[in-house]
Amino acid sequence: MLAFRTQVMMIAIMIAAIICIINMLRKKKLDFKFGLGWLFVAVCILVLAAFPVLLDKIAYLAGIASPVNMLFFLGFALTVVLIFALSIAVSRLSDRVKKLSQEIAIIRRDMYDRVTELEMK
Amino acid sequence: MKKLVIIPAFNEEGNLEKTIQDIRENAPGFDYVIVNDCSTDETLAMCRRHGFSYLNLPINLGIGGAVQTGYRYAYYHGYDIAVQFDGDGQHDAGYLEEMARVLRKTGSDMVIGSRFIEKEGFQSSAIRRMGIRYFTVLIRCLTGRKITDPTSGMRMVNRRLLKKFTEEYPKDYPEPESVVTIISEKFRVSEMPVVMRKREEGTSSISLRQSAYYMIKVSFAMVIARMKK
Repeated sequence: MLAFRTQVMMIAIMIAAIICIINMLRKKKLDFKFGLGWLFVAVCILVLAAFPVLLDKIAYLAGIASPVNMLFFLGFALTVVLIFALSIAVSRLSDRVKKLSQEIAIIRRDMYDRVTELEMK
Repeated sequence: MKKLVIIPAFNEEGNLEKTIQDIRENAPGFDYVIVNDCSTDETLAMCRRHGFSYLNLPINLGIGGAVQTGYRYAYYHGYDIAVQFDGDGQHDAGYLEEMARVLRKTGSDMVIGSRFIEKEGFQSSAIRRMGIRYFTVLIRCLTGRKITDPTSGMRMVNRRLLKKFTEEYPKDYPEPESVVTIISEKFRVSEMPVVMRKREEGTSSISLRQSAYYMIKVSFAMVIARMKK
């Protein structure tokens, strides 16, 4: 069983996290793409902390003796998935930044050449 | 036939002038472009002062990204041939016309200037040679082809590969990895003997401290490159 104190702490932290995420989404500081992922993690942990019966069942199925360990493990696993998604997003971004800066270098050069050409006339 | 020399430059103020002079004198059929990869020295100011042809990257992309900028420029401007050429005085522009001939004559998509066919000139340090030999063996295992100088920064490509490199080019330590990629995709690669000089100023882009990471990263990237198709 989950200790009552643990339960209260988990619920409080998760509610704070959810408020924070929604606030960030509202201010457009966080993309919905990632916001949804983080909300999913927070809500999952919140539900499990609020209804320890569920947690007991899952822990039993997974063969984990202490339900609170199951909670930590689930939180950890979901977070790892999110971080991996972030690595993919960062790789994609850096590819795009690379391409953009190459285009900028070339466009600047082409503009410079065009201006010099016009000045010569 | 439009031909372009691509000179990636990161803090090369001490060597660039000589390199450009070498190209103007010994490879008159070639245009050239310097790619300034956010040098922190006077490279940019020097390019402006001398009226050199250059591209100025707004952010530092590393050697792969800088060279790719040159390939992109060459592709957009309809060049038939582009050659990568180090700005540190190691390479000799006198080989460029010969390389272009070899490229056409052999029908290759890429010609690599190799230090290790006739084993003349500066042969790099013993420890670096060992690393290079390791890549040669690894490429042979992966592709069945023998490339004697897979890390050579002197490589000429035709328009077909120019297009390919514009779309996709490794970010760091690009040479050995891209060789595996293009051989896997049935591009034709050949080598010709060249003599290289010892670099005059500046330091190699790969220090010995980084070389462990370099070996692991490049080996892994080569295996992945082979698995792509």
